[in-house]
Amino acid sequence: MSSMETEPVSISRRQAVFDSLGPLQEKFVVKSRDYKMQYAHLYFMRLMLMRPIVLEHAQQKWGSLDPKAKHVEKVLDVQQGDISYLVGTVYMDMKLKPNILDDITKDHWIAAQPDRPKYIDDSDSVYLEDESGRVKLTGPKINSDFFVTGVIMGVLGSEDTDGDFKVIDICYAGEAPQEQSSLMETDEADKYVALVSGLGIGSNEFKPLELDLLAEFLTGEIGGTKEQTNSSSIVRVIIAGNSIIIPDIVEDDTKTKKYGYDRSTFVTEPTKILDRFLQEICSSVAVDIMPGDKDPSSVTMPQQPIHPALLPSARGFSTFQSVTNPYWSGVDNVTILGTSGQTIDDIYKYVKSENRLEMAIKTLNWRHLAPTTPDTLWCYPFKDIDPFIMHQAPHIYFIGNQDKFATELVTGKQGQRTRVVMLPSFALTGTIALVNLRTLECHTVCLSSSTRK
Amino acid sequence: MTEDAHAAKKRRMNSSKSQLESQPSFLDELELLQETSNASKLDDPSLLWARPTLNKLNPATDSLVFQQIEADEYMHTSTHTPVIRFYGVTDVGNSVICHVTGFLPYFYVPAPFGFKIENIPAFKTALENGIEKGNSVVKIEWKLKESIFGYHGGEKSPFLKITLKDPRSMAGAKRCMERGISFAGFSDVVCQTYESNIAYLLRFMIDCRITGANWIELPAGTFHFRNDSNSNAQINVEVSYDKLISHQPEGEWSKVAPLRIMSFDIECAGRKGIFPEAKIDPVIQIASIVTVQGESKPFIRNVMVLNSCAHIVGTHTMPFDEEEKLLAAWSDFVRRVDPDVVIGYNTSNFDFPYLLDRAKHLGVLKFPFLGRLNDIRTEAKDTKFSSKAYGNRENKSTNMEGRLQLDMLQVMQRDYKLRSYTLNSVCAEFLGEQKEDVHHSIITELQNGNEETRRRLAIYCLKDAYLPQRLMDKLMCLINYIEMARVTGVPFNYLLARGQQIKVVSQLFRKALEKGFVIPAVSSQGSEDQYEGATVIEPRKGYYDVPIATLDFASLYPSIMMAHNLCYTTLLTPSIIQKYNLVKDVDYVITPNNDAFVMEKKRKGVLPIILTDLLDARKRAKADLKKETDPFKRAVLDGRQLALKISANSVYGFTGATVGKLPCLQISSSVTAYGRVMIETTKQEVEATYTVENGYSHTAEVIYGDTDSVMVKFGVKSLEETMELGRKAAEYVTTKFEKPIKLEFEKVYFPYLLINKKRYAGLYWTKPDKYDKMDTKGIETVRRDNCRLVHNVIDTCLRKILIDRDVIGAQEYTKQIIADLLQNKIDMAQLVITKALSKTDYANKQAHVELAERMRQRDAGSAPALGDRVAYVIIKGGKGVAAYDKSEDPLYVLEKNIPIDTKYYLDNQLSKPLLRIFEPILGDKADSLLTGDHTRTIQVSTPSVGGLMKFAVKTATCLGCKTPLKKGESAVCVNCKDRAPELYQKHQNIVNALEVRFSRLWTQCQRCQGSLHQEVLCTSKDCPIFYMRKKVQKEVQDSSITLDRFVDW
Repeated sequence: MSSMETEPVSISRRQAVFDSLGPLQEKFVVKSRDYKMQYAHLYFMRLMLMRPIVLEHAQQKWGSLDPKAKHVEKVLDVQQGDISYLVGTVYMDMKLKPNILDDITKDHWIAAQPDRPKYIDDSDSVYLEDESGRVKLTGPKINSDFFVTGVIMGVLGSEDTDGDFKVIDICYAGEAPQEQSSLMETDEADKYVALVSGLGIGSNEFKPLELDLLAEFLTGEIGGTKEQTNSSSIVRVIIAGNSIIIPDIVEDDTKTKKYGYDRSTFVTEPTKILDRFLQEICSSVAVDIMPGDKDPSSVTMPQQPIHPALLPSARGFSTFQSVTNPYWSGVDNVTILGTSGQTIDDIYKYVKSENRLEMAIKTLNWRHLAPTTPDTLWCYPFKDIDPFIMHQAPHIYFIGNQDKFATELVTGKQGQRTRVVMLPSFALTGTIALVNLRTLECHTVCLSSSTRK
Repeated sequence: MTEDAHAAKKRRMNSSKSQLESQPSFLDELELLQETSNASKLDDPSLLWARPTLNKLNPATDSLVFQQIEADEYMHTSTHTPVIRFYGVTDVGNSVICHVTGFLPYFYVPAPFGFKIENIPAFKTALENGIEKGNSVVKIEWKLKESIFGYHGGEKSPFLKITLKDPRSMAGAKRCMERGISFAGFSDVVCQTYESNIAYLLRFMIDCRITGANWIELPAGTFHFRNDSNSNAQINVEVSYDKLISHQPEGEWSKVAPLRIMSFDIECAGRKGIFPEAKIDPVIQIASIVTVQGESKPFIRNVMVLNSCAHIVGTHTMPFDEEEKLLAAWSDFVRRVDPDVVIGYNTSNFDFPYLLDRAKHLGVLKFPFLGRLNDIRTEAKDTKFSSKAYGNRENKSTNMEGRLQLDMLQVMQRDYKLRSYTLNSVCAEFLGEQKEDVHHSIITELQNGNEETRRRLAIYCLKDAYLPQRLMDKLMCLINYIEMARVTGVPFNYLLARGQQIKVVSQLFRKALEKGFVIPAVSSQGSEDQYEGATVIEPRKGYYDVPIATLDFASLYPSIMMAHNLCYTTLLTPSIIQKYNLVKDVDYVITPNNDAFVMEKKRKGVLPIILTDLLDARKRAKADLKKETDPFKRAVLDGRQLALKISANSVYGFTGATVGKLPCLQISSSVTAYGRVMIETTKQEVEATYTVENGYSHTAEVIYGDTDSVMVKFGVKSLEETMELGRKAAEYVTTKFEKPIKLEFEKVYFPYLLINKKRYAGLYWTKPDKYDKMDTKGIETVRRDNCRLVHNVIDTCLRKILIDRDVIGAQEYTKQIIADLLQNKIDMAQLVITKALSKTDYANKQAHVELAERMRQRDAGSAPALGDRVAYVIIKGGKGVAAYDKSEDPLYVLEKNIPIDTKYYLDNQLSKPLLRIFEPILGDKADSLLTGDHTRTIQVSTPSVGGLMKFAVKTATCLGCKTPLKKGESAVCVNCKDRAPELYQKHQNIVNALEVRFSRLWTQCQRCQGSLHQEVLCTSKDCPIFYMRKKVQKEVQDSSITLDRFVDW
């Protein structure tokens, strides 16, 4: 061992100030659940909160046009032939969206159809809706761009003789304002946040060796002083979902069927491995663990923290936090927002493109991180809030469990800077991402145990 | 905008563009939009209402061509002669009323023995005196005719053709002749009358060769305009009946005019729990959609609303402050739009009578004139309609001169056999979509809200107005009915208002006129004479895992009539055989029913001629259909071939209808007798020919046969071979019969489950590579008093047996379902039974009536009213509680956790149909499906009301072992602590599954109602989602509370 030969150096973990961003983060925590509500409230709140913002932008953009365009408050008050602009919620009418009616009426005898990779079809149409009603949007502007249900959008155009609204320009809320990050001027050495997703413990792709490597890397037990110094500059680790994947249980047909008993489908091993892994790294660095769609947690958005009792060893550490998905936090005045990927996975189904990074950037522009809730992304029926509105633009915005690593530094109209990171699954790629808290630069570290195709 | 100003504006735009680089690039587009918008801007949508303007028409030089859609008759006030009035549309869409004058009604009597032409004046006087009204006989002529009934050696005999002045004298004249009449030299001569029982209008159409809904041409110079102040039509003309040209609906003349179709729906504000009454409850909205036949989109969509209403995109909303004004405006609208066809859903029995009663109550005097004639009041009358094919129906009918009415509810009830006829389930069936159903108690609330809630109601009303139109388009009803009118020659409105017979009558009279026959007016008397029907070869029940070939006789009964020349005109009596020395099997044949009919070489029968014409026309239509590419023309041709087929098949029934215009049981009994013989012959021939002795690999076996088909098991395993054998066998057996009887190989069933007579199921193959469909006959999946579970289980079992060929799997599935049922795991929506509450005083107590009464006692407001559908489930009751008292409202059951009587569902709903399917396969062992291991575990929910629950104390129990928990334990007991993660996981999974269900169900309802921002109000009990949605709300709430007990462990 090389460290034996040289003089032992004491390297200590760098410290950073953690901010739980209470007002933003608390909205993701659903304390008492009430299912008497319908989803109309959520859409209504979203429209109420975001319409003034979009309208302001629309007025800036179209308020002084010639010929004059007038603002119409209710979608249905549009008069045929008048050039006007309106603000409302997008609704995508897509016949390939999963339809529970079909599932229960028609083909109830076949196993449920596998989810389609995409919902798009030539017959799709785009509507703009508000509390008064909806109008169909047409025109080249509509055909050339992509839209998803739930986005609050302003459109400029006029109603044609078919009663459709021909759109010639579009506007969104745009990037939210941003808290100034004070770190830019610091002379301290750089600090990093490590972003990991898709540990995939229990899945076929899971490689125990790579998980060990990851633990060693994060705790600084790997490499020489240089590597260890690098590791020590990681001030926080965020695990963005799908840490555990419970394998499908193959039905045992040989046993005679017992009626009236539920077969136990519980497998404890992956949870134990995760617990040991977390115990190891929590001893050295602060860790936030978010649930993903495969984790043993709630399934509707926002996903609630994984029950700490499932991770008995890790939960003892003050550095351990089980958090929601999506998740807001602040480290040294750098604001971080991330999801475990479902938000973009769902948008992906509405869009022809394969470019998921572009979709994530679009959500910043929409100022909404999960517009497709509740239409196609399952969601708790909120009454007075829409927790997914981005009231401020984060400095770091990451999406877990994506097909490949991608990143871009997005600059907003008022100088907002957001580092967008698409995180691949660790089990599949062995890759994690490190974001520099001062410069917002982002690079990957590959801890692969073998060469991958 | 002048040229200059325009140019200036362009310049200004250009300059501004160069100055401001950041100006959006869409400005050009914006300006373009502005211009086109201004051009298309329509200030007043009511400008669209009127028909196309009329081009100048000069009767001296122009001819007038129109498609007639309806006709009626009236007496001319000055000449006192009957006039036919046609209502029609030209091919550019102008409305026409054409008065046809000069045609007089007539009938025949055989000249009494010894009667001479000289006796006519005396006879005329006697007859005139005999008819109550004087001066009513116009003329009596001597004609040589032949009665259609029986063969008389081809000799004509003298008839007197009596022409009357007034159609209303016909009955009197007929009575007079039948009573007996005396005149110079003749006393009390009783005469059977001929052709005296046909309506004047139909008589006229037959004589002028006019068929229903065909095109009529008035050549230049033959007609003149009439000034009719009371007519709404654009063209009003008069013509003499012998001048008009009737175009047969062939080639160019098979087109359809641009008919205006109006579909509408009304909403009334009822009171809670009471069916709306016109004297009390106001009409609050009327939505109307007008479409031109052949176009895909409506050109008028409007809704008239009492009180204000927010704007609806693409729709003309018209608010009214008074109901009287609304009703008056709607009747004005109808007259201005002047629709040719009026459709809706249950408009005959509800919307029209209600509107008329309401208008009368409010004193809207100009309302009840909805037809094309301003002097004829529109009224709703009760009609009774009784037909063997359609049963007895009591309906209301509303007259609207010149407008066809197609109540889609009646069309559905007539043409389709469905589980339920609510607009909801009909749409689910044919349009594949669920309809939002707003409960009538909410309608009043929405109306009393603000302009937004009224808008919501208006959208609902518009949808209901549009759906009948969509249904009609989808099912091609209008085209098919028009073609039926054309093929059979009856006026369009006979098709819905009358039965099958009139269609055959129309054709028979037409053909008789052509061939010189006259048709006796037999007084119809219901005789109970029953004749033997079709034969059924005793089924060899069982599950066949080899291909079964089906051989069918194509159009069996028509071809028998043609092959053996069975007709009124060929029927022989022994005396006639003797009189003309006819020789058996040379001149005539004896049918298997021992009736004698003369052979074709002596005389070809009228019925065989009609049938040949119909089937030839069908062949032509089908050939044209193959060539035609235009979708609309294809629809017309397809409608025609269908009409021709139905018409050909109804001829046989006509001869056998004892309560009919011209029953002749010799014909119908002979037809069925031939049919029986043929089925037997086919069986013998096939079984004698396809044998191992004759070199075939297996001996064929006829396992079942019914009416016109036989099922043959050739024994071979491959589909190709079976199909080949089937084809060969059909060809071979065909040679044993007279032409045009033809046995056809049509399909193979493989596998085939033969349950009993007229009950079977199988996979249907017409080509060897892929099956066409799963075909089931007589297996109750459509019975309405079954719950959905029965339907689903039977359907799934059949699919497993037939498609997957997994009999074991089907049994396993059945056992699992039964186990689930007994353990309360079946979704309650599957157990709901619905029945319409049509009257309250049933003779026996009925479950749904009793429940409605109980619900009324609980809350009169939400209880079902008369006409509503009552949904119920059967709940557990004490011993001896009658079944009708065990019905309960599903929502109440959900709320109170009332245990369901799962045993009832197993014994009374599932067991019979299941045994029926499995008995042919398993034999006596089928019973094992209903008893055994899987029925031992049962679970009953704990009710929150009634009985012992008053004394029960709730204690939390361990989620692992159900022992009562001690203080400080929230989820599990000490002993189960180790299992806590597992149990937590299990409950988390339950909550997750329910949450997903919750999300999917409620978002689906949002999609269906077409709004994200408004609450879902729909209460459609026919929709499979409704109860699931309610149930999941409760379940997810309960289970998340349970999950919350895992605070820690």
